[in-house]
Amino acid sequence: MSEVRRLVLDVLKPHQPTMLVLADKLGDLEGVHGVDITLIEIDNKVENIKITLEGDDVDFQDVAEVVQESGGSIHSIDKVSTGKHLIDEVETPQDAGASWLR
Amino acid sequence: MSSPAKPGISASLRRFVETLRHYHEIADVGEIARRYFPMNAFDGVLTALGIVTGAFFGGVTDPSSLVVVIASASLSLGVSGFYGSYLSEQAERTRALRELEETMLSRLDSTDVGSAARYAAVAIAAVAGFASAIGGLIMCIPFLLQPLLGVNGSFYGAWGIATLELVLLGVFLGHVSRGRLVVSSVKLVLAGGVAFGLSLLLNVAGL
Repeated sequence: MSEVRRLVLDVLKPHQPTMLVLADKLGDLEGVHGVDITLIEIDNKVENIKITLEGDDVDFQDVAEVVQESGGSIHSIDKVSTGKHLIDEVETPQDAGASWLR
Repeated sequence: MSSPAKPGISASLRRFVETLRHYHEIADVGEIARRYFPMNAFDGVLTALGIVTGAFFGGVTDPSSLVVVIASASLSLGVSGFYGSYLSEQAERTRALRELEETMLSRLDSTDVGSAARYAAVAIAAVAGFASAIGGLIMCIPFLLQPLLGVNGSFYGAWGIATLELVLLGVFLGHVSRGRLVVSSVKLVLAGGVAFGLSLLLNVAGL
């Protein structure tokens, strides 16, 4: 079974613990080499963030546990990359058409 | 050379301290504890000051009686400070947690947020209870040393300690507000003077 190399999550979390603490905890996980957290939207009590993790074996269960321990809730898995090498999404003519519409 | 068990204990102790620090940050305990500490310590010092002054003008000089009265009052204030703060803080924290849960659409009791809320109630109550009790308890020391200090010396010692505690509380508050420490200390000592003056008036009035 191939390992997860990149994982992108859409997460809703309280303001505390902060993104700094969450990034620190996720970065400490085994198999994770890099963490990026971006603030998407902030509300009075909660914030919507996008978490991107890269590594040689990102374990979703471990990540979900850290997020839930911090009071967060995973809304969706937005992107998963597996395999021996990281590859990026390939743009097709249909995508170009769609981007023109956007 | 250290024994094999020692690193395990120190590592778990370090982890425990880190967890508490983590909860401390999440629940923002520091700011609220900073409010409770001077407020309750002030209550404790002025209560003990009232007892000491009342005893002096009332002619109660027996050191063991004074120590029992001051210590009992201080411990009762400590218990009151602990329970009062715990119950009010727990109610506020639970309310805030439930509101957050409504926004998150999920339970948070078993998360760090829930644990931090429970920790905050206990930590703040401990600070409040300790602050209430310690000021008065320290004022027992001169009466325990009455054989050395003499009757009047023990009362002067207790008033001196009360003044010193009020000055230190003033310094603490001045430090928190980043204001002038002397002004802040004088304000608190004046409050002590008012309490002392009221006890004196009661004596003058013959009550």
